[in-house]
Amino acid sequence: MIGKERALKILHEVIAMSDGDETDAMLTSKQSSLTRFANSTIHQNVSQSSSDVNIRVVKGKRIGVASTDRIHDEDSLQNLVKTASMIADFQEENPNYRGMPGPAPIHDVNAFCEATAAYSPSQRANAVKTLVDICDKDSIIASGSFKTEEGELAIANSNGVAAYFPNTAAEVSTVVMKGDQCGYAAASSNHVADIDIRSIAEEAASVCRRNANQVEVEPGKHDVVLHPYAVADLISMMCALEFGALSMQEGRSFMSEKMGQKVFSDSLTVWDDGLDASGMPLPFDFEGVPKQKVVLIEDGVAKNVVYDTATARKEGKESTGHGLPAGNTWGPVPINMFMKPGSDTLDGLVSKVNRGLFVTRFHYINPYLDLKRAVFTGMTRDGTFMIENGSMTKAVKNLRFTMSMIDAFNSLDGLTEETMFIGGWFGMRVPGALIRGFNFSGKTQF
Amino acid sequence: MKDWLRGAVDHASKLGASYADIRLLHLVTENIQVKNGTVEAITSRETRGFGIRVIANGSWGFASSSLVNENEMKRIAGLAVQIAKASSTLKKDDVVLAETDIRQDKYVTPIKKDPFSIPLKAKLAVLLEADRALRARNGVKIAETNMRFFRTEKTFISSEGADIDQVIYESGGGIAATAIDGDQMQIRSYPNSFRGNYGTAGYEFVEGLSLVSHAPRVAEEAVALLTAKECPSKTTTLVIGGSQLALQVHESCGHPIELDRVFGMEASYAGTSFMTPEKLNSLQYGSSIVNIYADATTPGGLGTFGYDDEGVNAQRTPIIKEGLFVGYLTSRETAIKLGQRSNGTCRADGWWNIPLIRMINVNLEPGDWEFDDLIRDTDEGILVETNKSWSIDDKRLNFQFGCEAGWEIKNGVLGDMVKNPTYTGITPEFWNSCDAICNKKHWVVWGTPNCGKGEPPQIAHVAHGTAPSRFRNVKVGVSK
Repeated sequence: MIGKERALKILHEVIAMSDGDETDAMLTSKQSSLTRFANSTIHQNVSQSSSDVNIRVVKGKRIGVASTDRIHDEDSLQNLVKTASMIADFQEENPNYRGMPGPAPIHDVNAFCEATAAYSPSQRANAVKTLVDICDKDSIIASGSFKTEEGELAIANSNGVAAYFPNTAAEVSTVVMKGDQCGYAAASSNHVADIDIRSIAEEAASVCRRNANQVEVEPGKHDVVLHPYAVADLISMMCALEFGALSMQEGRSFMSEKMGQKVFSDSLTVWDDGLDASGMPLPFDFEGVPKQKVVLIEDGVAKNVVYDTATARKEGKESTGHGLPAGNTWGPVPINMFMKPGSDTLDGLVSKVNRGLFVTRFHYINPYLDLKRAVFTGMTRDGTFMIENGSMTKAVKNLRFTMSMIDAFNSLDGLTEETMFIGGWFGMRVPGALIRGFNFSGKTQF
Repeated sequence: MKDWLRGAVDHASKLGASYADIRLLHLVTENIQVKNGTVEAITSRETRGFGIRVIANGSWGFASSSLVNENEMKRIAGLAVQIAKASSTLKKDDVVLAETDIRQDKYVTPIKKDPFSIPLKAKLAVLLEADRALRARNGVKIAETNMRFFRTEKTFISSEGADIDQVIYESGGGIAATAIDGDQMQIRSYPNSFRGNYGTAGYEFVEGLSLVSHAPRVAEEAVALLTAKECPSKTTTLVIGGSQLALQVHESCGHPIELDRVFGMEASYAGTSFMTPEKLNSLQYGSSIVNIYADATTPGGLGTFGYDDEGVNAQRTPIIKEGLFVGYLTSRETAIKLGQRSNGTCRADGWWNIPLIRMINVNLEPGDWEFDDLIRDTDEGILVETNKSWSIDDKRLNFQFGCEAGWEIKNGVLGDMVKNPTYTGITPEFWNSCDAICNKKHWVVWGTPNCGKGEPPQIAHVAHGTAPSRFRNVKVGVSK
C-alpha cells in the first residue's frame, strides 16, 4: 500500500511539474492474488503488484494524456509530464472539453478489509481444498478461481480536487463438472469473511447433480426464470452500452429517444449507487467527483443516464460522478448497479410457469447486433432446466437466445425478494426474475 | 540488468524451485483517436516490470512487480516459490515440461518506419483527413478514425539457460462511419471493425491501409444501410468476406484447439472444447479444401514473433489438413501430455501475467478461386462482410455472427445490399459445408489486438490469414 499521504503527494508533485492550464492526475495501485484451479487441482497461482500514474495536461482546449507505472522514479514522472504536455502542444482543440471539476465533499465509505488484504496463498489454497473436497464426495470435478485484492485510487487536479480511496475485494467462482453434467456458483465481497466457500461448493454441486440426462428443447419463445447470475449477465451489458450520457448524446443508446417514456415493465427499477455498502462501493469517480445515486429506470420509465464532467456541462448539468479515467472515449458508465427486488422466491417464480425454462447463467453475450433496440445474443450455460406445471423437472441442453432487452424486460412478470451481489466489471445487486416469452433462436449439442 | 535477472532465477532455485524463469518487459504504446473532427484522445502509455514463474514441489507459482530492482526481483522470486508451495497442497501430478531447445538469441520485428519516430502531426493529418471524408457524406452522424502503436522489449531468462531478447513492433488503425436515423443505427468500418487492422510492422503498415481513400465508400455504405432491406431469414449459400472469416476461424477453430482449454484449464471461465484428444487425427473438422495452420512465422502477422514466453521458437504447425483435425496449440506443460514438444504458443499479456496458450497466426490457407468467379458460380445466396457481433457456446460448437453489411447473390451476380445480416451454425457442420476458398491474391492477414482469455483476464494480439470463402446451407437472418 502506498497510503493516502504519499499517493496524494506524488500526484501533487506531478501536477506541479505541469505547464498546462489545467492538470489532473490519477494514481492506481493494486496487489492482486488469484488462485486458479481446474480438474480439482491448483494449476495457476499468481500475484501481481502494480502502480500507475495517469496524467492529463490541458492547454486551452488541447489535451494530452500519458501514463506510466514507473512511479518511484522521479525522472520517469518528469518524462510523463513532458510527454503529456508535448501531446497537448500537438493536439487540436477539443470543443467537447469543458474543464475539470472542482473539489466537493466526498462521502465516507469503507470498503477496505484488513483480513482480505492479508489473505495468504495458503489460506486461498485451503479454501479451494475445502471446495474441492465437498465436490469430490460426489466424484464431481471442480474448476474456478479465488481472488483476493487490495487497491488504492487517488485523484488530484489543479482545481483542488484531492481524493483517495483504499479498497479490498474477494471473489470466488466455480464451475463443477461430472461427465456431461455441470453447475456454477460464485460470490464477491469486500470482506473475505463473507465468502462462504462451503455454501458455494454445495450450491454448484447441487446444480451439477440435477443437471443430468439433458434433453433437447426446441428454440422458440419460452417463459424463463432467471437466477440472479443470469439477470446480472443481461443488466451488465446494458450498463456498458445504454446508460451513459455520451451514448445518449450521440444517439447510440435506446435511451436517446425514450427518456421520460415507459420502456419496460412497471416492476423494473434500476439505479446506480456508489455509496451503498451492500455492493462494492466507490465514493468518487475517476475525475474525483463524488458519486451520486442515479435512478436510471423507475417503474419501467427511462429516467436518467449517468454523467461525467464533459457530458454534464454540455447539457448544463452537474456530473453525477461516473467518469472513467482520462483518455477514454467511452464516456461515463454506471458501475455500482442495483435492481429493485420483488416479493417472490425463485421457487415461487418457478411455480408461476406452466411450461418454460430455468436459466442459471448466460455465456458470451454479445450486445452489438442492434444497440438501438438492445438486441443481445448469447448462450445458456452451467444448468438449464425445464419447468413443467410449476416445477423444475428435467435438465435441458443449452440454447441460444437472440432478443431485444427492451422486449425482454417489458415482459418481466416477477422478481425475487432476495437479491444477490454479483461481482465483475459491473458489480451489481440483483434479484432473480421471471420473463415471459423469452426468445431462443438456436440450440447446441450439450 | 541481466545479472539481476539471473540472480532472481538463481534465488528461486536456491529456495527450492526445480524450474524458474523471469520475463522483464518494457511496453510503450501510443493511441490516437479522432471523432467527428475532434481529436478525442492521444494517449501514451509506458509500463515496465517483470514476472517470475517457478515450479516448486511440482506446482506452479507466479509473481510479478513493476518495481524493477535487484532486491524486488529476489523478493518476488521468493513470493513465487511460496505461492508454488501453497499450490502443491492441492495437486494430483507434478508439473512436467516438455523438452525444448534452449536458445540464446535476439529477435526484432523487421520494420521500415519506426512508428514512434513519425511525428504526431503527420499521423493526425491522416486521421483528420479521413474523418473529413467520412463526414462529407450527409447522414453520417459519427465518424471515427484511429491509430495504435506498440513497442515491446522483453528479455526471457530461464534456469535451463535460455537467454532471449526480443523487440516487437505492432502498428495498425482504421476508420468507421455510423449513420443514425431514429431508432436505426448502421455502421461501416474499414479495413475491419473494432478499430481496424493490425500487424507486427512499422508505420508502413498504416500507410498501406490508405485510410483516406476508403473513407467515401465506407460513409456511403453506412448511409445506404439505413434504407437497405433486412437480411432475409432462410437457409442459403453464404459467401463470407475475409475479415469476418478471420473471426470465424478465431472463434470456431483458434480457441477450441488451445490444449489448455481442451484439458479443462479454462473450464471455469471461457469454457472447454469439443475438439478433445480422442478426435485428433480422426475428426473431419471441415471439407477437404479446408487447411488451417498455426504459424508464428507469417510475415507481418500480429501473432508473429521470434520466441514465445517459454523461450520456445516460433513455428508453423498444421491444425487442419484437408479437413482432418491434426494439431493443437500447445505449451511445454500441455504438449508433453500428448507426447509432443511445444509448438510455441504460450504467451502472457504484459509482465504482470502468467503465460497461457494463446493463438498466434491461425491461418486458413488460400484456395484456387478468383472472387468474381466464386460469385459467378453462386446461383443464390448472401455475401456478408465485416463483423458486427459474435457469440459462441462454451465448447465452441454453436456460433452466431452478425455482420455490418450483406449483399444478395442472384444468378451469379451481386444484387441488393441487405442490412443486419446474421448467420448461425454448428462448427464442424459449417466447415464441412465449405466448397470454395479464394486464392492467394485475395488472402489477407487480419490482426486482432483484443483476444480475451484467462483469469485474471489477459488480452492477446493474434491474427488470421483468410480469403473470402463459400459455405452451403447456412441459416441466415436469425430471428430477433
